[in-house]
Amino acid sequence: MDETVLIRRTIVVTAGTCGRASGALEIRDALRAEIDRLGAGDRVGLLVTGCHGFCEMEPSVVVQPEGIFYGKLKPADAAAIVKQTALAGKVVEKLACKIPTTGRVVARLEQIPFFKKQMRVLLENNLRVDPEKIEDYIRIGGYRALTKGLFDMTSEGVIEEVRRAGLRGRGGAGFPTAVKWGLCRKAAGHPKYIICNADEGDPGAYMDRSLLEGNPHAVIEGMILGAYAMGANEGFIYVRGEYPLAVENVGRAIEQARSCGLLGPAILGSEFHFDLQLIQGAGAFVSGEETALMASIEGRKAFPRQRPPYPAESGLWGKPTNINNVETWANVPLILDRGSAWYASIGTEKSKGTKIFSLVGRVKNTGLVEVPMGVTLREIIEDIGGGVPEGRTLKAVQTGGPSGGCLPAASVDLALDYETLAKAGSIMGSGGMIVLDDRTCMVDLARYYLHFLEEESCGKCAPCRVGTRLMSELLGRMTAGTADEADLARLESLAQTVKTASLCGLGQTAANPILSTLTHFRSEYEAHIREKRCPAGVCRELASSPDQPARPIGRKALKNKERGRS
Amino acid sequence: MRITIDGRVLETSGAPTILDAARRLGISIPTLCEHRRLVPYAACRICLVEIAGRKLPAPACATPVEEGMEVITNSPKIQALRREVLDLILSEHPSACLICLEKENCEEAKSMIRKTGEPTGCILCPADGRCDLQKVVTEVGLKGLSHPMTYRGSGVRRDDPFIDRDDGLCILCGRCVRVCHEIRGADAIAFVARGSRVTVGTSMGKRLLDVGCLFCGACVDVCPTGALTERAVRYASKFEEQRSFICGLCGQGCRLGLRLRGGRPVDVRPEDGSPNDGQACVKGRFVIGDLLGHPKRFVRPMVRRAGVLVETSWEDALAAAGRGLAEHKGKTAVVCSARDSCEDLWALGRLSRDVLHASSVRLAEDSAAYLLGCPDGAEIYAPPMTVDELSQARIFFIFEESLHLTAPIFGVAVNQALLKGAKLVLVGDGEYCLDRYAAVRVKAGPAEAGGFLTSLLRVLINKNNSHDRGRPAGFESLRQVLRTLPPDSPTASVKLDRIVGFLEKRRPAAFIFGPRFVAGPWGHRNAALLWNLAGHTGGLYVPVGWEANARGAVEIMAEINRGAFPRSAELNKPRALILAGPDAAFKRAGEEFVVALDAFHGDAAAQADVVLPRTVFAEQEGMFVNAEGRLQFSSAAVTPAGEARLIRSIAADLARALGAGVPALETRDAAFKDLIGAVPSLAEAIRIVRGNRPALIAGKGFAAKGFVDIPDLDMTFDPAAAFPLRDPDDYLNFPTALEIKSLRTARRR
Repeated sequence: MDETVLIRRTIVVTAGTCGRASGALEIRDALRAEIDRLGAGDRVGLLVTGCHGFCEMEPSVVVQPEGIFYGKLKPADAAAIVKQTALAGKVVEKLACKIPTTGRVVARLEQIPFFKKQMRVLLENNLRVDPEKIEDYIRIGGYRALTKGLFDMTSEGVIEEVRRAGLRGRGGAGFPTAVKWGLCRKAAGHPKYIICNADEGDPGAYMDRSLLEGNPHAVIEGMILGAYAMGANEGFIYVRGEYPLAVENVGRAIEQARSCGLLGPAILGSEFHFDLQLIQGAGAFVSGEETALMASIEGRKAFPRQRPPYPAESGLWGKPTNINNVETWANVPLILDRGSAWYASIGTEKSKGTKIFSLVGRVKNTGLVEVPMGVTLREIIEDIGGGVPEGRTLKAVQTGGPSGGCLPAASVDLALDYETLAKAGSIMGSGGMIVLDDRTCMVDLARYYLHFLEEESCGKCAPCRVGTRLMSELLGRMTAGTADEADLARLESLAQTVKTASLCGLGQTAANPILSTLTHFRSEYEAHIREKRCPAGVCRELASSPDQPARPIGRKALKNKERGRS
Repeated sequence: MRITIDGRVLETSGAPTILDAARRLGISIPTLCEHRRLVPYAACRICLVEIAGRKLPAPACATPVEEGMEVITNSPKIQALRREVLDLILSEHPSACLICLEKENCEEAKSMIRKTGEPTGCILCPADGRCDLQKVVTEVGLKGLSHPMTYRGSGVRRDDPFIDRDDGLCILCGRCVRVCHEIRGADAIAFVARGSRVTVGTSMGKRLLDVGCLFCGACVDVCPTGALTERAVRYASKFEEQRSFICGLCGQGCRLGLRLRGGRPVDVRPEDGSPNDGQACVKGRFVIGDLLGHPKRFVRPMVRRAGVLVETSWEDALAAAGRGLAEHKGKTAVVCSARDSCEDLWALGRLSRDVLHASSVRLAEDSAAYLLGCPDGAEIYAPPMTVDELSQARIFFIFEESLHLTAPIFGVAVNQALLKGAKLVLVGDGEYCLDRYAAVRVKAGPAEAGGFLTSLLRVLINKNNSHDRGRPAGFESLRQVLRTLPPDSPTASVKLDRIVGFLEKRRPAAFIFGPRFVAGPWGHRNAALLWNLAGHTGGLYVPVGWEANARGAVEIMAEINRGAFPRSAELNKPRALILAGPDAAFKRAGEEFVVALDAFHGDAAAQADVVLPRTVFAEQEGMFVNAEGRLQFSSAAVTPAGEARLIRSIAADLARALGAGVPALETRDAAFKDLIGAVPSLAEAIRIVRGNRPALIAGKGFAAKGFVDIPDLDMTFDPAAAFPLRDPDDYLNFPTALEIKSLRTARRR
């Protein structure tokens, strides 16, 4: 008998929101029908998991244990997958990935360039766990870190372990997590609260969604450990309402954890009490700002307030509160389970561990990539992302969402960590990474972000409310070819005012898209204003005919230019 | 703590904000969203200052000072930043009146033809001349605007009584939203929408009438611009002077400022300081102007001739009154009002006692709240209590009172405490404004509440059986009485346990009740129960009088009635009546002669033989004792309407008409001396007030008095036989009471 037949294989269907949108559930149904038809239920398992990150290839399946990956599937492919791969262990060549340069077929996950260069300590569990089952998480070693923390370590010990691991906040600013925890632990006041910020609002970023959908228990375990470390007895997970699947999975996971004695009174028989509550956001970008988020949990309008006092002193209902991002919480069980030494061995001197980026834009392989801190942008874009498609050239990379900035193509060899990015004029942010090629107009990009911020500003403080609107209007004039030199000066001065005078992080960083594009691509602004020309050919009012590249044909712009001449 | 602001050093204790500290040093920092009574908001960003060692400038209003902090408030950089921020604010606000080149000479020279409409500001702005933004523009020194102007408004909303709202003039400082929530607890307005579309509005854009607004006017008072204005005075001329007086429309004794132009009232604004500290209610804020010049005012005396009341002169009317009263000397009854000042009541008392030898002198209103528990009228229980103390209470028991309507300032204090986490137990069978805040709601009217209070008292007294020391008088007998009663039902026990749980954790408690709760056959029992409960829990015993001088009237009535009147049954049917109180239910029955001292045409006055026009509260000076027991002096803010006279002068005139002038009533000073000579509690209070300290007229308190007997513990009541309980506004007898009532009906709908 053939050896391969003896192995019980599992077909993993990745059905996060992105997978479902491209038809993962149909693939799942087709596979199940095929397995039933063949009566192979005892030899082939079917596992529906969260997202593995390779969004470009959805819907996809992975056949374990070999890790054979098939992407861009149709329900009709189910028969071949079950029969040839799951039962016989053979690769279906027409469904497998090919390396574009050589045309060689690569079936195994670890050989595919997109996965090869990654270091997936967080995301790998998404492929191993059915998010609807707590048993799956426990089977792969989940909640082991919790027992270690609760029974073998003191609260200070947990904080010390996190400190030694060098974990820094993954929400954007990179504040050392252990320091933040220590402040909250030392703060006077009772009760204390902890919050998981899952109001992921940056356009094009979805790392947190993938973690919550695919492996909610990791976040819950991290939060229980954090609560133990800080002496909190109540926690909140604030998920944005636009993530229905995440809400469903997290809600179910909390229920399961509670019924297993992992939440509630006397966790695992210890003296520690902790419970979690799921709060849904009502769809405001500003709710991601920590003070606004807390106002929202308290049932008020999501308006930020002036800091200090910081949440660690006076947060939710005026009590000491700790607030961390989803990815930060998900890292905690890893640190406790595998040890701080292991964690600290990953990454650079000051930035430890891995970071998930959502790699989108003009790149061949879009998706979530998890890399150790300190890899270069080039590695991410070219090796993992497969480079810029259609023979175009890389122009810039936008990192950190609307609060972040643009890095020009010349800086692709920068090592990605908090300090380097900040020095280069951008931020790590929560991990959004938008690749831009030469067909992107930087003025238009800034206009897009400012329009987004204008809509999403809460409207509380005057500089942000009025400033974002005026900047958005000015950029609109530039892209429409109706701006003049004075407008550029006004834009720059406005950007500075909004940056210095605004109340919260949203306003203070709202000008970043303008400031960073002005630093690196000032000539584009000048082309829009002086020559009424959009070098990238994006701005409609300034679009040129191919034979007369300098002549604008947009009506408004033309009129304006002629008026300017006469 | 030691901090440096602009090079000047300040030693502070506590944790003031930079703004507080700067003000203490006399350094001016411009502000817009900041307000003395509100939590710092830091939204306008006008008060930004530089702090050494911090990357970004910080708002002075919301930044607490720290040891060794170095603050710079006026560097060129900060001044430029303020100008830029103000520039941004003004790009959303009509600015013709703010940065007009002709601004300097405009008022005197009228050098511009000011035709700019409301959207662009200028003279038609309702806040022109009293706008905070105008002051800030001058202080910041903004000379021109650099951004295109946007009009954010959607027109003036005029679909509510009293208040006009204009989004176009709003700078979103949030003062109105915060005062509505933090101080008044009405939560009628809030920020709606987001970003550049954010406005101050109501739920679903409804009218204020439909969202629980109480029209207290606090939002109008704090609005720095013309966005929220009082409709009646929207286009009124600017006032010339502001005169302070004590509001006479309820028992709170709010200090209000009447603004006048050419001696005529323009509008009314609440004044700072105790007891109301800048707050008022719909009556005080919006209706006093109308009240003073109401078309139904009596402006000349009237005499009934051939069955019809006709206007006449004072001499004529007084002669007619004198003739009529002289016939019935000794058989005359006098009805006074607890709304009137101590001097007025004393004058009427002197007239009745010494000239008319009246058969009875009584108050038109039910002052049961103060009188009960002391049937002889000789001793008043309510111990001293201030609004500030009330706002420190941690649990409230409110009986049958809609505080926001009957005692708005106590309502404010209760709201402050509730926001800080106090609990509310609401007892009553109606619907109340505070319903939504109640932790426990007991559906029981004045008749049934006795059972609830008795059970509560029994549980509490049985609970601390163990401490025997320092137990006030009457404890043992009370415990014995309570033991004889049947046990509580299980459902009642659950509710009681919850309340007792609150009482154990939260101190002090406050027991607030009004006349409605202690009127009627059960009144004495309810008052005694509350007294014992408040005493036993160490809580505040808070009777809420509905009338401006209810507390003082009780003191004076006690003094006047002390043994000086014949009390035979025959005399209880008076032959003549002096009606100085607003008895809306008055029906003439067998009286041969009725003199009415009234200010407004009404049913009572229509039945009188002689009507003598009297002044109302803002037109006369006098002493009032408010619901706290606080003695306050009111001054005359306007001249009396028509020929109206003070009650004191009318009493003196009547005495003279009866041929027996009372020298003590002839002059103001003589009357005053006479009064304080006769009423010792007032004399003591006045001594304290003259020493610039607040004086509270108060009873002995629980420690001295101890537990009191509870009458009729097992009494069963027939609610149908209850007193006809009237609306508090009926007692006002003012035409506007009707208007306020229709407003309240509209709100319920």
